[in-house]
Amino acid sequence: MSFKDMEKELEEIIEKLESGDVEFESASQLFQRGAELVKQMHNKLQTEKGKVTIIKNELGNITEENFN
Amino acid sequence: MNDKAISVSRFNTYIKQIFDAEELLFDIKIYGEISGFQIRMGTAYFTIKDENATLPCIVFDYDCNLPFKNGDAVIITGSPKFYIKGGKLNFYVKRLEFAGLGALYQQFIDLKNKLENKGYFLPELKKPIPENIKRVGVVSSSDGAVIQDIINVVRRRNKSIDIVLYPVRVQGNDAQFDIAKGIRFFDNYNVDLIIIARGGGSMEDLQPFNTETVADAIFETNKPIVSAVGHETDFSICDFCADIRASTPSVAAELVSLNTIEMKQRLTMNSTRLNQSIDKYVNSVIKYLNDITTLLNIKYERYLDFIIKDIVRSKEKFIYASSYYLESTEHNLNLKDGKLTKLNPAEILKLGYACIRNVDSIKKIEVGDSIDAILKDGEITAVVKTIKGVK
Repeated sequence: MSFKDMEKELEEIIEKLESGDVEFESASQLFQRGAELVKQMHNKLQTEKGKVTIIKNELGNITEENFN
Repeated sequence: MNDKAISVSRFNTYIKQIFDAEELLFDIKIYGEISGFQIRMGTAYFTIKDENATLPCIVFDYDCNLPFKNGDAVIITGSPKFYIKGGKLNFYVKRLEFAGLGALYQQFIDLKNKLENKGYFLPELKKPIPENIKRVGVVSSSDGAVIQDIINVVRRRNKSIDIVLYPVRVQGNDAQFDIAKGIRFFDNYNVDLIIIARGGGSMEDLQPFNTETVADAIFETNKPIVSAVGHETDFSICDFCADIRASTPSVAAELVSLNTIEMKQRLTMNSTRLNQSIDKYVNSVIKYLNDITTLLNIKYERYLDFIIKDIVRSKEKFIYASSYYLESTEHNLNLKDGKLTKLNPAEILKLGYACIRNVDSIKKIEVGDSIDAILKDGEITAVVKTIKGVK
């Protein structure tokens, strides 16, 4: 699930809860789902630092080396 | 009149004939700069000039959409025509084209039209930029500021994206082949999107990006391509063929890198909103329960009050009913007491009657028997002397 999709679902959950137009059990489930989404989205943003590389082509032998 | 003199008309006709007869002047090419450009009734009039001379030109059936203007360096092809009536020479232009950079521009326009007709620029063929880009392939020079700008912008916005550079020459006759090769390489390599980038430059500098070689490579590639060639005001064939044109390499870097700073800010905000929303919801439920309880209490108190009043009413009714009963009972008792009093034997004796004990019939006594009688004030024993009646 993409960050954007998760963000959209989270916002829908918040809007439902803010409207107050949900049963108590549903509200509880929605909140738990929302909290789970926040956790997953947070994890997605905590990924490893990317690399900058340059393609080297020596006689058809392609390699990727660090750039800079 | 001097016999050697000729008329103006004859002279001008003679001059015209000389010009018309001179084969060297047929379809001659002249280069110069346009000035005094104007269009009247579908005919363009201008003067072509250099540092030392000018030549008036006429273009019949001029296409008003052509981009020529004053100051443009052009090459004109056509023939001079001498105008007998006015005694003036005009150059009738059959073909008008840019010279130098103008020629490059013409080439650009021709290629653009050709590719457009081949469907290379169709909007429906444009591929969208993927949302979660992990690896970006960059076709650009490994030297200079462009690749550094891209790296800096991507890093500032999103630290997790890999940037893979395919180094190419971005200038010169063979640069177009390098660029096309880089594009095709990335089409089969582990990248999510390709950026073709070059910094600003003259039209000649940008020429490799205005070639069919590069256009074909872009058109035949399945991966999304962002073109960032030249300055904001420069447009290249590469731009038209790519899925998205970025005005500068930095803008291209922004387009392909999700801004994690903004994402984090939005996540924090949504997280706070989520907590506030559940707090608000729970508070509203508590308030609802309190309201219900209060309402129930009010109703209960009213019910209790009603019950108590009912009991009191019932009690009052009971008391009233009881007292009435007692009163009527007492009355009845008094009445009965009166009747009893009247039936008391003592009361009868007081009237002067006597009560004979143990004898209630003449059949049970004989003359001479003693009988006991009770009077109102004492008792006596008497002897029966006579008996009357039927025994």
